[in-house]
Amino acid sequence: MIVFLVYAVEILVALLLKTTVLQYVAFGFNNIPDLIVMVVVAAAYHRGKTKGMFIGFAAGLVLDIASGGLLGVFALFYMFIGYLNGFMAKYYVQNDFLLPLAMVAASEFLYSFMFWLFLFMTRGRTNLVSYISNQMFPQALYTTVVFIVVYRILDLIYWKVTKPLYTDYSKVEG
Amino acid sequence: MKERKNPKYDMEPRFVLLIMTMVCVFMIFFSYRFDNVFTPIRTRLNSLIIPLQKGITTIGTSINNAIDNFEEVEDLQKQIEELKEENDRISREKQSMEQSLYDLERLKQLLSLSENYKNYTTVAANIIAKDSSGYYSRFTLDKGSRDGIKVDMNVLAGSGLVGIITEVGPNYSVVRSIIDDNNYVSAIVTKSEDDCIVCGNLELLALGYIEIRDLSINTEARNNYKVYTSPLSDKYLPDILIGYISNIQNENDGLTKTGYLTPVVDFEHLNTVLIITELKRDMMGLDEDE
Repeated sequence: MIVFLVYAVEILVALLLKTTVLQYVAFGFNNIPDLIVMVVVAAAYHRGKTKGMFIGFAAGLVLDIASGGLLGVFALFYMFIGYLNGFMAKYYVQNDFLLPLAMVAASEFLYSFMFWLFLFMTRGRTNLVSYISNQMFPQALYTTVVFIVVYRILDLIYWKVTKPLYTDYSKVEG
Repeated sequence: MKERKNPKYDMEPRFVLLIMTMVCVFMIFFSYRFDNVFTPIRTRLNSLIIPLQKGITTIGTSINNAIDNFEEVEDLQKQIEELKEENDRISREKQSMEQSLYDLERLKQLLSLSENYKNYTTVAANIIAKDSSGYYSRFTLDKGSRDGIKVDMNVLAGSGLVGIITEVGPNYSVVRSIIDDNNYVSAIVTKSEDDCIVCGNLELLALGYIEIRDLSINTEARNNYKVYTSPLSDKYLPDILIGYISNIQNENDGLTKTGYLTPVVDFEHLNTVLIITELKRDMMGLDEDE
């Protein structure tokens, strides 16, 4: 139950910060660090494919509700991100920062690409080169840099709050 | 805990993924098909997080303002000097302008031109959240249906068009701004009186432009001409300033011209907006069919 609450709070905080105060640090093409991807990546890295998938799904669904598009689009995006990052759970080592950073960069890139594929290309905005250089790349870079700090916090929460509840660590799938 | 007892977790993760993907696809389909069922639920859930967003934005804005104030004091000293000089210059210009204005009024009366600017009634609202996806340009206002806000009301800031209300909850409303990649406004160019379409474009956004298209190839529009909302539009009220044309060029099809438009509204530093509480469809004398 505590685990559930912790992730619910993480998702809610990420969403609230992203829609409000993080707008002050936007640059370029409205690029802001994507806190929700960070939460999903960290969760999948800590807990494996299935749980990562469900946390991604929940985060995406909340985002769908808040942003007013079709229900389920972001849920689908984040669910895949959670699932794919879950493959890395078996390589989890505490205090390893390089792997999660690479994961979040790749995830943000993937997310932007899916976004473009489903929500831009379908409307005839086909200029992928400009989209990559102006949107996907800066967005992924920005998210990765901010993730250095955010990951420390999320990792700390994982160890201090939720990890002691588990005795059988080998249960973590991967 | 829930995680271990749940039999779902004994399934192969890829099967769970497959099932959940289908759930998502169904949700997308149903929310598209049965919009009227999902929207009220979404609105109700959304109005729960509005107070939280409002609080965080208020705190964030005040911190941001405090930092800005600190940095700005020196700039302000300099600006005051500059403004004083400018003031002198402008007051000289004003003298001659007043004379021309008087002449203009007199000539207008002679032509008996009716003023077609309306004084729209407006409601002020604060922006409490911007869109969460980062790719759209939509934002949430702290006024909703309780304050008489309805979908399709136009939103202004200063004298320029900001956007249109697309969603209304009891305590919030969502504005899709004219710089949104998915927004189209029919517009009219001053002097040359050409119809055109103003649409947001993500690629131009960082340059501070939006796109203007479907201008007639024979147009006499030039850079810096003003662009207003068109009377032809069925959602936007007429004669609201949108921006200034720049960089007009011929389109490949040889039939139309396209160009950039600099919006009059500074979208990056937008905190308060005005909502016009008159709807275009009411003005056209149509019955509301809700």
